[in-house]
Amino acid sequence: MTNEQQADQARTIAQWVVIGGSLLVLLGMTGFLVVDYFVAGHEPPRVFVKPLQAEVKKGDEGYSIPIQVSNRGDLIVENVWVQVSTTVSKSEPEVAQFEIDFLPAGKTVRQIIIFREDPSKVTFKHLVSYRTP
Amino acid sequence: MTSEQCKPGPWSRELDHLLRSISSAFLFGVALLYTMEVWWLGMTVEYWKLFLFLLVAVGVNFFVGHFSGLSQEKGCWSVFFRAVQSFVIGLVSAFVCLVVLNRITFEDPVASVIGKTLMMVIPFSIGAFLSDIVIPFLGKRTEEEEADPDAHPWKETLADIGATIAGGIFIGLPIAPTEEVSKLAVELGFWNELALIGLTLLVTYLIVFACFPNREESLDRQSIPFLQRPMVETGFSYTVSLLLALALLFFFDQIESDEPVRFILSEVITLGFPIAIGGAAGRLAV
Repeated sequence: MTNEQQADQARTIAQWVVIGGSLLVLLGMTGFLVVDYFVAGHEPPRVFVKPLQAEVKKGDEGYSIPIQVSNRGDLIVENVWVQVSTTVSKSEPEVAQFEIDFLPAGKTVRQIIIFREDPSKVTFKHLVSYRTP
Repeated sequence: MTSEQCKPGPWSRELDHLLRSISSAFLFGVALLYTMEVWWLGMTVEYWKLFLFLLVAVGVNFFVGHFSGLSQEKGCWSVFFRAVQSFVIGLVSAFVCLVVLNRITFEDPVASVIGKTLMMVIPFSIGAFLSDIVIPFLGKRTEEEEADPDAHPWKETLADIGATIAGGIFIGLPIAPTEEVSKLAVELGFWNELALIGLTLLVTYLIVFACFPNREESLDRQSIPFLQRPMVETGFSYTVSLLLALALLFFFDQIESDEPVRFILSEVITLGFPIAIGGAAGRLAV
């Protein structure tokens, strides 16, 4: 076998490795989309709001608390608007609100809110609204 | 050493081709990265539209290559394989950009990751497919000019600065006044910023030097002026790009007088990415 023939054969192998890898990625991604479309459920969005009272931190401005918002449905939601209020028997409740642009299915985000009073031992109430695309 | 011995091997040729494709993919795709509506669509778009994007990305390349003769490949299957290869290069390039820009995180659902990446893939894959035409076309004069060893070093350096500014303005001007720059900068973490700086330097180096191995070798000699050496020129041009990004942000009132310096730096690094890529294309062309 001449050097030229060996080079041709090696070139073919090099090209086929690249082509094989490319086809593998393309087919793998297409396969995932197909399987996900048929296997994944079509449950409506279920948005859960959970104040993480164990993670309250005291700072100069007040008490910061992470609010965990998660979508446990199978469909994405847009413009998720959340209002959180603390319920304290003696004083005025503190109210905070925020908006999340998009919350895909299975995604959880954390939003930090700062209250004047310590929110670690109070009862929370919340309201949620969102739009389905 | 004979010319036969100097001839690059098949793996080396594939690597050169891959580097060219990546460079061209970034040239074509970088502007679309700075469009927030595309990030959002990637999360909400229906599956059939994603398949359409996939088909268009491969199909456009195939038709352009097969019917216009813009591909070096001959035969249907060869053009098709080249189209698929370009699609995957575009897909990976777009994915890397989105990860570095913190548009994709490892907590995101896989379908959302695929959606965001596929929304970006068309210009990246077209760029990768046309690399055999675009990069040599841009670099034609550059290769010819390397034959002149007596060129004045400052003339070359000033030409590089001018080309970086011209190319950077061409790509950066439409992006600088938009909200996307500050939105991206706000959400960039420390590691994202470091990765973005690294990616910018790597891609600009690839565009100007790695696509022309002969040029890289000729410029690496000790006789070449310091500012013209590949690594130095890449770093120097990046600095020019960052200064240009700062100037554009200031010009378009995207920087307030009381803005924290740390945030200004994030914005400059964010806008510096497309500007540096435009600047690299400019240096290649001038």
